[in-house]
Order: sequence, then C-alpha cells, then structure tokens
Amino acid sequence: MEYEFQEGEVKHAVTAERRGNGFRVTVDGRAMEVDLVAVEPGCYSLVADGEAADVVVVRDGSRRYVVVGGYSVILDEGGGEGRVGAAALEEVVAGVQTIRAPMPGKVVKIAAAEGDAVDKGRTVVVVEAMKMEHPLSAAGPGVVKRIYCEEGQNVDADQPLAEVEIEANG
Amino acid sequence: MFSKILVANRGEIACRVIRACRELGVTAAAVYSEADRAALHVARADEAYCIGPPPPLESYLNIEKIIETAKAARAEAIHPGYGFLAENAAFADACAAASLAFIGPSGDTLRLSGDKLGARRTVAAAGIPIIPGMSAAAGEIAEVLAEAEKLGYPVIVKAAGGGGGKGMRIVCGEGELAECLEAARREALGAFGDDTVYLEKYLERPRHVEFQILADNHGNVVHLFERECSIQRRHQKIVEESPSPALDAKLRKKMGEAAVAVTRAVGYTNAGTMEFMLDEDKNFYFLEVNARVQVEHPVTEMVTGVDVVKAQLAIAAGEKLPFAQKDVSRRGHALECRIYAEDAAANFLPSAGKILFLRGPRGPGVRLDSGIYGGYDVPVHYDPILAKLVTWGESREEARRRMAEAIREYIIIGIKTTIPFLRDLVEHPAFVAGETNTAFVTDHFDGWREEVPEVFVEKALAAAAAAELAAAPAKFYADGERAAAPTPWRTVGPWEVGRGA
Repeated sequence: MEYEFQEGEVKHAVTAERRGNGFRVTVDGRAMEVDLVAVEPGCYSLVADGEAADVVVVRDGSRRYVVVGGYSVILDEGGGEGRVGAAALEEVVAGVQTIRAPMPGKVVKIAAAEGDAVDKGRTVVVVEAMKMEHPLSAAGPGVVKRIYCEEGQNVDADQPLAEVEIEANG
Repeated sequence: MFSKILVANRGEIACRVIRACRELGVTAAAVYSEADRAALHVARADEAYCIGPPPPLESYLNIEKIIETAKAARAEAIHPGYGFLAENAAFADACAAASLAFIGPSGDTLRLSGDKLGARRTVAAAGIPIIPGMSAAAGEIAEVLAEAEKLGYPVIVKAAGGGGGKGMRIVCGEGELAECLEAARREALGAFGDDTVYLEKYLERPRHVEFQILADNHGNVVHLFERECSIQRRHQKIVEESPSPALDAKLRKKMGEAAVAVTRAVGYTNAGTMEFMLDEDKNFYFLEVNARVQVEHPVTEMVTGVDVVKAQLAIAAGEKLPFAQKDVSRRGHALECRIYAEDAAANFLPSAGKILFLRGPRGPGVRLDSGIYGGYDVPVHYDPILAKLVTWGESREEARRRMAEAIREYIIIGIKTTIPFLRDLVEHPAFVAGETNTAFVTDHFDGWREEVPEVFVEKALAAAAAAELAAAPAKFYADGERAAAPTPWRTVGPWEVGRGA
C-alpha cells in the first residue's frame, strides 16, 4: 500500500507491505523492517530495525496523531485538510486578510469599524477563551472591509471574524 | 472534624480536595456549572449539585447560590480551592453569616491581604523588608514622577486591588510613565473595580521564593519551607520546586522566620503562602500574601510529607496543629510542571476541545494531580489548567530526570498542551544548573517552536502506515512461510475517534 502523509509543510511518501509477522515499510525511499503489535486501544509496541518504541496512533478523520518517544507528530492524509494554523492567522490572500478565531471562545471587543483605516498590528477584534483575552490584529496597513461578528458572540475555531484589505505595498 | 463539606471549585483542585475528604471520611459535595456535568470532579464526589449556567459569574462565582446549595446539602464547611471565590472576603463573610466554616482565613484577613498597599504597610511595620516603593496610592503625575526618580528606573506600576498581571506595567523611563499609569489604572478598574495603583522598584531578574505556612486558630504558626516559582510567563507560574536552588540553610532560616512574622503581623490563619522576591545579591523582599491553597502545594507535600489540604480541613475544624516548627523536616527535592491547555508555540494560546487520547505517567516518585480524562471535552469557559505533574527525587537532578521521563510518558492527544514546551524546558542547561529567575522564559524560550527529531518523524510515519495496513484484513500467504493468522491483536487498527469499538 502507498500512503502520502503531510507533516507540517512537508509531504512524505510511505509504502507498507506485509512481510512475515511484520511489515516492510519505506519512508521517502528508505526501507525499514517494522514489527507492530497492538497492545491496547490506540497503543502499539513498535520494533523498527531492532529499535523498540511505545507508539500511540489515533485517527481523527483524515488526520492521524502519532506519538513516538514523547514526540507528537500530526499526519494528514494526502495533502491535509487545510486547517488554519497559528501562522496562517496572519495570511493575506489576494490583498485580503481574513481574521479568524484562533480557538473557540467569545468576542469580547470589536476594536475597529467597517471602513476604518488601520495600521499594521492594530487590534481589530478581541476574543476571550479560558479567562484570557487574545487581540487579533491587522497583518499590515489597510482598511477594515467587513466585520462578521458581534460583541458577546460565541465563535468557533477558524470562524471568520473580520476582513481587512491590506495595502498593496504594505 | 466535619462530616460533610462542599467543594466550591472545579478541575484538578476540586479533585484534590475531594480526595482529601475521602481520606478523612468526610462526605464531599461537589458543585458544577451546566458546562461541567461531565467534569471529573463531579464523578469523584459523593454528592453533586448543579449551580447554574457556564459563565463563572452565574455559577462558580455566585456566592448566594453556593451558600444556598451548601445549606440545602447540610454541609458544615466550604472549601473554595484556588481562584474563583478563594480570596473573596465577601464570600468568607457570607459563609460565617450562614454558620458555615470557610476553609481559609477570615474575611478581615482576606481584606487586608487583598489590599496590596495595606499589606505592604502592615508588613513593613513588622520590620520585614518590602520592595522599595510607595506605601500609599499614586496620585498626581508630578508626585509619581518624583517618586520614580527617587526609586530609579525601571519601576513597575501595580494595582492595589489584585494580581495576576492585570493593572501591571513596567516603566523603563520617565517618558513612558504617564501613559503606563493611565493604562494600569484603566486595566485595574476593569479587573478589580478599583483604579488604585502604586509604584515599586522593578527588580529585573529576581527569583520568586515563597514559604508555605500553616497557622491554626490557637496562635500556632509553622512554615513548611520554601518553593521556588521563578519560571513564569505573563506573571503565571509554570514550574515550581522545593527546595530553592538559591537558598542555603542560613538564608532559609531567616526567610522562614520572616514568613512566620508576616503571618502573625496580618493575623493569618489556615494554610497560606508568603511570597518574596530574592534579588541577585540574595536580598529578599516581601511581595504578597496568597491567602489560599496554592496550585503548587504538592511540591511542599512531597518534600515534607505534610498533607496541606487535610491540614486546611483540620485547622478550619478548630483543631490544633499536631506539630511544632522543630518537628517539620524535609527530604529530597520535588518539582512540579503545570500542564495547561495552551499552545506554547503560538504565544500560549488556549486550546479547548476534546481529548482524543490520554495516558498519564506512572512510576517511583511520580504524582499526577489531574482533572481530565480521555474523551473529556475541555470547556472554553474556565482556566486552562488541566493537571500538575510532580516528581520527587533524593536530589534535584534525580527529580529533574524523573520529570523528563514522566513528561515523555505523558500523552494528551486532541488539544494543544504545554507538555512539549515543558519537555524542552526541563532539559535546558540553565534549568539543569538551577539558574532560574523570572526572566527565564523570555531569556531562553522566546519564539519557542517544537522540533521533532527526524528519527521520530520517520518512526511515526512507519507506525502510521503499518497500523493502517494491520487494520486491513490479513491475507494468508501461499508461499508456505508462516502465515499471518488474523488474531485480533494483530489486526486491530488505529484507534479511531468517533466510531464505537
């Protein structure tokens, strides 16, 4: 079987086939002899090329969370789901920044109105979650185009809250 | 001792208090908001009562409702935990008025310790060093400028009405003072309903060293030695330990005596913490009184063997401390790491949501105080603390290595936690050397990102693929070699969320 997993920005090609009681796996072309035994739900005992490890593999849709040696690795099947990470929060697409809720929470303040000119770093919306306030700001100088939320509104992670048109040379 | 108490809190601390109750044979009544029906503390208690909607003001901060619930449940006392109503003088008064024992100091003591300026004056009058600064509220800007000049920059503006970093501003020069003063007043008014602020000299790289004290209602006061809590971010502690790597026996004795003197000066009873700053020349200054059981109390329990929460119940029930200062000894070293639902790589952004998989560490010298379970949905309404991982060792290094190993074993999948950050923190050379101060995180971990060594990424990919294949029905091989018989142990696939077994 062939798999394509995306880990962060990197794509990995993986193949696996049964071999005796174990598996022969290649990761980006490198071959490994893998013996994997399920020990309890989600948990495996892995012996790869003679090196033993305690592994957890949890599948959530097309995403797999794998923990090996205390390190957590998130693998998305074939290119991922396009979830918004922390870095993407400041992403500007075609001159427009969509400000999204970084986590589920409540809009506690809308600090700019539609049509307002804003500087880079100017707070547009403040979201509160778990007793902490998180100001969300403009990625560059520009104009607030749309506000999609109201103060006091509960929002989900990744929900668009506002749009800012960023100046072309900002 | 009481026969029933009400625990007016949630999360890991409610579980901790319920455990103490059960050990003492005291019936524990939990309260919960509508968002917390599935919270762990509810299942751990003997009785449980819903007290209102999710927002804290309508549930865990609703004094009237909590008192009414305690009376209806025929509880004799209320344990407030930490946070929420723990240091609320009006709540302590309301308990007294309803003939319920408040497991903590009196309302009057809470009023005094909650007023930072009043506490400064009282403590200074008892001859304990305080951080140089104002002993009365900041007034006109000209007067504040003169005071700042006298103290020397940097100075810090603090709110008299509370802590937690709110209403706090560091001022590096006179040009910033007016603006910082105004911002601090605004924030303090919003957070504590009181815009009183004052100036203190800002110590740049102090250690935060605090003493746990126990004081009964019969005039007996003992301290249970110190905890160092220098590792902080945004004025919130992340890692604590006892003993402090910075104290020698002489300084420990002197600071312990000062902590007891502060306790007596403010008339404090029950368990509490006297916080001090220790500068680079090992001068110590009183910072504030924490009038509650603290998050980091397990560190003290591990080195002294004293159960602080059970002591709280005994003191509130009117019992005398069963030991004197000379009977308190300590052994070894303990460390605590706070596990928060936060993404340390994204400026500690909170991360609520469902825990898809959980496995806690175990082993010699490992203690886990936790308020979560696998499948638990961490709500957005409350503090992001999930659990506290504590290790003990004969030496600091043994405790540290146990911590590193325990962190490696601790798996929480589904939400971001501070576990990866803590793993790197406890291995940092400055931490290994005990070179800790309140600037540690900004000095060494600014812009931290998790870096997974390539070898683990490779193994993760191999395991994911093999697990996938193992889940598919096994084929019988025709080549005469050992056929892979499809036993359930070999064919069970990756654990899938949301699909029943």
